[in-house]
Order: sequence, then C-alpha cells, then structure tokens
Amino acid sequence: MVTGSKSVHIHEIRQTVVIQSLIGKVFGTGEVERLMEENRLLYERHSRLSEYLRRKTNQLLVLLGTLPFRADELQDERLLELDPIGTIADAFVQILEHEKSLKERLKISHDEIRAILSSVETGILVLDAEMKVLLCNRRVVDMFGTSEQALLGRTCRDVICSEGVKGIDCTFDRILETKRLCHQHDWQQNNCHFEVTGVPIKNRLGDITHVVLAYTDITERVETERRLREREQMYFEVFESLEDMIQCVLPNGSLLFANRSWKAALGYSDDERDGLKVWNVIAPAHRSACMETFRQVLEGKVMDDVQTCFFSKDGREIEVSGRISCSFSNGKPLATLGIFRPIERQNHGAGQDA
Amino acid sequence: MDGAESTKQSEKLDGLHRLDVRGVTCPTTLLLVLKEVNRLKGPLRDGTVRLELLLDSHDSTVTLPEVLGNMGYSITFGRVEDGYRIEVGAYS
Repeated sequence: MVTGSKSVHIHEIRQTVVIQSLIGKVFGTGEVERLMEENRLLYERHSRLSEYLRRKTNQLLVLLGTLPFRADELQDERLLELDPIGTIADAFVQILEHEKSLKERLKISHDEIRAILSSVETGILVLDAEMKVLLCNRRVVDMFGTSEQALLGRTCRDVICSEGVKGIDCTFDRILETKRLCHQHDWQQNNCHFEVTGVPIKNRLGDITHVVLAYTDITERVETERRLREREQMYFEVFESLEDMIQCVLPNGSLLFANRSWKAALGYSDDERDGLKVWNVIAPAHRSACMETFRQVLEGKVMDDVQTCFFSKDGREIEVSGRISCSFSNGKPLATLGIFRPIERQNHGAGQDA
Repeated sequence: MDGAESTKQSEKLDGLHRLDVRGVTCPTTLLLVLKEVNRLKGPLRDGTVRLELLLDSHDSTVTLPEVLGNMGYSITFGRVEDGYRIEVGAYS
C-alpha cells in the first residue's frame, strides 16, 4: 500500500507518462525528446543560478561577519524572495555612508587636535608602541631644537635623548612597564629641566598602542627656586650670626624660627622650640600686653619700640626691647618677625659708650 | 519548517516597529533584520521610528549589534524571558 507524498509522486509520474504519450502521438517521438532535453537544460541552468546565488550570498554573509547558509537552510524559492544580494548591497550602502560620515567627523576632530596642539605651550609627542613619533607639535620642536621632519617616524630616544635615557628615567619605558600614567617632576636634558607627563592609550585588550608625552619647560622655575634657596640660606646665616634675639611667629602663635642668640638666652633647643607658643616664652606679667601687641602686628601695624620680658626655660626673666613687624600674602598675615635686644646689654653698651 | 516562514509580521506601535524573528536561526535572522532596516532607513536615521527586534538565536546577538553598529545605528541590547531584545535607533 502506498500513501501520502509517495502516492502523489507516483500520480505525477503517471501523469507525465500520459502527457508524453499524448505529445508523442500528436507531434511525434522526436518532439518529446527535444522537449525533455530542453527541460533538462532549463533545470540545470536554474540549479547553476541557485548555486551561484547561494555561493555569492554566503560570500557576502561571511564578509558581514556572520555564518554562511547551511546546505538545508532556506529553499531556493524562499531565498529568491528574500533577495539576499539586494538586501546585503543596501546594507553595504548604509555602511559606506556611515563610514563616510565618520571619516568627515574624524577629519574635523583631527583638525581640532592639530589646532589645540599648535596653540598650547606644552610640548607634545604622540608615539606608537615602538616609541616612534607619529605626531608632534610646534612647541616640542622648539624645545628640543629639532624639526618635525627629524622627529616623525624616528624614536624619541634617537632624536631627543641623544645620550640614551633608559629605564626609570625614561617616561616611555616606565609607562610600558606600569601600563599607567607616569609623571616625572624634574627630567633633565641638555641643562634644561622638564616636567614630563606620559599617558598610555590602550586598545580593547588593554595593550598599549600609543603613548602621549607632554613636556613643560620648568628650567626658569627651577633656577628661581635655586636662587630663593640660596637667598634663604644667606638670610639664615645672617640671622644666626647676629647677637640680637630674632624670632618668627606664625599667626597661631607657633614659633617658626628662632636664631642662635634667642635659643642661647632662653635655653631651648630647636626640638623644644617646635612645641612652644610665643606666650610660653613671655613672663606671666607681660603676657596680656604681649598678646595685644601681637594682635596689632597681625593687623599690619609695625611696632618699632616694643618692650617686653621673656621667660627662659630655667625661669629667668629677660627684659628686652625691639621691633616687631608682619609679612603678608594676598592680605593674609604669614608670620611676624621680632628682633630684640636685652635691655641690660643695651644699658651696658650705653655705659661703655659713656 | 523553513526558518523564515515562522517569522511574524512586523508590527508598528507608536513610532516603535517590532520585528519578531524568534525561531529563526542565523544568518536568515540577519537577512530579515537587514531587509527591515533597509526598508525603514529614512525614519530610523532621522529618529522618528525605532525598531525593536525579538530573537532567540544566540549567534545573532553577536552579529546583529556589530553589523547594525557599522551601519551607524545605536543599539540597546537586553534579555527577555524567551530570548533577546535589541532596539535599533538613530545614532546620536
């Protein structure tokens, strides 16, 4: 017994045979054979076209990053209905349009970055992972006395660090090692001082693809700081050599500085002085007057002829006279400076003069 | 059953077009989605419509966002009870 699709198939074969027999009777056997050959050729052509369509569609699908069709996926008629090549072609049009728009935006961004790089006073180098210079600005060219042509495509080690800075002194090496932003406060090259900041640029996998180095020339600042330190040392030595008692007091009363004569007269060491407030070294009977003087000095008054009485570590009272003034920054008091001489010594000196 | 035949008709709900391709595997899913995105190109680009895709093919969750992103659309991806939901909109 035959059922279902099998019986339909048998029925179709019977129909074909009957039709062939009828055509044979009407047009002759030769015509039947010709039609059958034509039919076979048409079928072959259709198969080739379907196979070509499927092959080209698969090629485009793989290009889009997806899987090709499985052999049994979609019947030929359904595949034609979907118009895969037309659909993918339209998608590619959109991809290309988007690429074009991105390219225009990138061009604008690139021009903006170039303009920013040209306008800043910081020297900037963009390096690839091999340390080769991809981009540099005018300032970095001026800083290192080179040219853009000399920098581009070469390693900064070759062009800038001619003596071959490596390891911990090389910002690039440190970034590759730590994979993090790196800051060098005082990097020296050819008697110049630079503050160098290096920033890594990473890809999706976290690998460093580029490094941006920013150089700020701090030579002038370093030189100014050196001169200030020298001047500070000079003043320190002058104060230390004077016989007058000199003290610097912060607005909160802490003793910032006291010279050798002050420490010798009152019997305190530097460590002990650090924990003292100015009223700790004033004789109790003079403290309230001293506080009032201190307040007025902090308000900007210069006290030219102050008389007070110090109180030494071993309990002695030392009467002094002197001058107190205050230095200010942006209207705020920084520290008072007091210069005192024991009255006893002044009298003694006056006696000698007499 | 041919995968594409199980695709439900796309629906339109207040500026949100919905294409349900659950039951369809990749790459047929991709072709059906691309066909719909091509059809809605203008309104999708100017932001007057968004396209909601419902799918359950895991492979497509990788391919679709990448291809649609390359075409310049914004993608919002989420999971739903019986598969995945991808919302396609204008790139801001």
